[in-house]
Amino acid sequence: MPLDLSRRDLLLAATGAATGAVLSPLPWKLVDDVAIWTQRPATPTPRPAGPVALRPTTCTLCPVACGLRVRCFGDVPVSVTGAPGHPASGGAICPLGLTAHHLSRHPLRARTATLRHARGEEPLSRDAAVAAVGAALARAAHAGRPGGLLVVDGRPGRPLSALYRAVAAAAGGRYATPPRVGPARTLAALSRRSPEPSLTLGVDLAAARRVVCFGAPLLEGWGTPGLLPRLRAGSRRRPHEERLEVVQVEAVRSRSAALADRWIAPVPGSEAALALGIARVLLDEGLLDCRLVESRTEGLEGFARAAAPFTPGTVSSLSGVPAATVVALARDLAAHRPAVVLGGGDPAGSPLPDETEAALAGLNLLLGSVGGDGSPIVARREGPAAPAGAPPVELADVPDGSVGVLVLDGHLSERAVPWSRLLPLLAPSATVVSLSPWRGGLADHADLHVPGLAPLEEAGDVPGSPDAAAATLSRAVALVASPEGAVDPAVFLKESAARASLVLPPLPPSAVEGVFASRRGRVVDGTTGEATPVGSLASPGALGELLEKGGCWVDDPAPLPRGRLSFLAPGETAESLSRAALAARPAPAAQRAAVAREAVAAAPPASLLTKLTRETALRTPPVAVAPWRA
Amino acid sequence: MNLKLPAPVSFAAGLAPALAAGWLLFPRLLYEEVPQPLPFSHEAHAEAAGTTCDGCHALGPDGRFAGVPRVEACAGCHAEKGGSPGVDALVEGYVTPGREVPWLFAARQPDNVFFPHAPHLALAKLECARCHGPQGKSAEARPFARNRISGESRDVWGPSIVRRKANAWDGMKMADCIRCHREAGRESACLDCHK
Repeated sequence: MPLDLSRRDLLLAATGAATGAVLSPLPWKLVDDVAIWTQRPATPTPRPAGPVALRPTTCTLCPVACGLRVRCFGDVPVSVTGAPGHPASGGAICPLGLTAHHLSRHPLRARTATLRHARGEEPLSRDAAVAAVGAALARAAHAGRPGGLLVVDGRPGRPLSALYRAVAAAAGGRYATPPRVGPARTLAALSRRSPEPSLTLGVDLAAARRVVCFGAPLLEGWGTPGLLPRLRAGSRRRPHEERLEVVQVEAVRSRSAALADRWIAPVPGSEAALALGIARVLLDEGLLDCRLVESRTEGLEGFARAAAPFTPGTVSSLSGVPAATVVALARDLAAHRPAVVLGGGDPAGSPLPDETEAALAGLNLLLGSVGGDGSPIVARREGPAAPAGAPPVELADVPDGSVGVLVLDGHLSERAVPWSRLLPLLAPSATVVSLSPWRGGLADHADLHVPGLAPLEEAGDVPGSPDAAAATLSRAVALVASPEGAVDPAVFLKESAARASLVLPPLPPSAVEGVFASRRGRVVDGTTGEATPVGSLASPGALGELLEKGGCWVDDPAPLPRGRLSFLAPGETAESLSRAALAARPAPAAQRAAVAREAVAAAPPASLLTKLTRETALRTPPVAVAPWRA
Repeated sequence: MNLKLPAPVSFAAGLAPALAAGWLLFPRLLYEEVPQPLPFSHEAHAEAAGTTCDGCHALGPDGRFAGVPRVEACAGCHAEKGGSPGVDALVEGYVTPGREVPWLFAARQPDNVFFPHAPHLALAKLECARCHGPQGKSAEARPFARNRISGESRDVWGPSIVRRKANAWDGMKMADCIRCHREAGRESACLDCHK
């Protein structure tokens, strides 16, 4: 009897087969086996081999100079952690520092010297790069000013900075540093109020119980990574009155604003009015430590005159901050001394105006935050690097069109000095040389890009942050081989200067020799925290050996500033200060609406999100190559 | 008159081959057996030579697991030919020319997993057999069963295609790690193993 197979039979059989497949391990195991393909990198990672060692070094990503412990398999670094006892960082490092050993293989890492011209780019050998920079230096030395050399140092105070200054002096050029930003401007404003012109100040946040940030990203990136959140978390174990609280004054809800204990959102531009309003409440209600103010300051009457127009009601109308909030903040700061007020920037990322910084400086003086025992703002000494060579100038003092050769330090970021600020300084046929290890940013505007050394590639003495409470010095050790086309900027500049027949002035003694000669401070072991006084060391070599092993030199506390700090710096008047603060007007409704929208949209960032944001911050678009200057 | 199949029969006609293929044919086709480069008897080394596991598979002074011993360790006892064809092949092919034996590691985890032996041995005090089974008593080296799709060893998945665990050492998947950690009260985070 023939079998009659219909379409229905076939469909039933197919359904049965599908059911059978689902009831068997086949599809599930296939999914599991295929899933591993998603976990495999396109390029297999070589398995590191060799003895495991923890090698101490210092991070050179930012001026904080965190202590690192790098785990190496043989010569290959495989992970980076913070040195637990390091005085500059206290064991913390930022997310970018955690990946420092990968940065030399970053897609934006420049691997060879490049000459850029109208027809495009061409790679240069090292010798050709030395010859090109040497010729440019010779041209600049011959031209003098205008048409001369300008070296812009991204991180002054390093041994390389001394060489920059020497080259600038030998070529008859200038040496410039980027303008100070963030809380450094508040410190500079306070220094200007001292009778000692050379007074240098630093911030010791550990001494504060209230920290008021006018736009400074204190809780997300400024200074030692994670320091303020750590201090705040530690203070939670203390009684409520002794806890550290952070008040963020910022028009937009930044990450620091979201993470702060309190967020006050004034209208952009009204920060000076708000600061003077707080000062007015302190003065009116007698919330000052009069003995402290009288013994350390002078010119209170002038500052009181400047603050007089700023009643809480006036401040409220100018800034949009309720009058009750202004009064409450002033009372809170007075009741929780030591308090410190630090400036940062405006919502557009620009520095706060000088008048605002003057108001913040006055507020700090009223609160007794400066210069005393246990004050958050302390006097400190400069780092051990002895100044020599061309004196530093402000970029603002360099005339437009006067630069024939512009040398950009590798640590100079476009955020610190935008290209639009440098372009007007250039003469029509100027040559721009970048020593950045990275492509992108200012390096894309350079005619000649000679890649320097990336973090963990460079070796040498690293001074600490100029804003820290005390000068520090530690040592970076080269743990990662640099690309073949990268150069040590110091060696490269010396060779180029020699090619240009420049006679360099004698370089100052090394930082280690300077520290040893001063006999000041102590060397703190980055792992154990044990301290060795410099005075007990026999030679600079012994000091260098301790630094090589992960030690960090910390300067002794500086003596209190002599003389009284003035509420008004030279050139400032009460009238100019209040006039500038009163000039702030409420932003248009649209701007306020935009600020409000942003406040709603910005959620408190999770720690993982913050980490990802910071890690991806370096991933700038790789195709953003600036057009060559015709 | 044509014969019409009842619906259950048509359904079963598809179901049965699919089940057979999934349960019987697929596991056989999925894995290929790759012979080890040399015959090796753990039993002989453990009993005759009196060697323990950590005699050859020790933690190094830096705390890292040394894994399979290098050929120099073999040369300590097998510097010259003689004894068995396997020893002859070892000496001739690897000891004399100083070449490492390309053993195929049945217990190797995929590259996306970081597994440190040191804490499991030194802190958790686990026996080797807890994860590796009675390898130390095997009379001959098992051929390496390679998954044709993933390329990994069959020991990672376990001998049963449905991962039925007859023994504690059957399978080294993440679920096995989690189960053991949960039992020991040592549950931890993703980044502990997936760096």
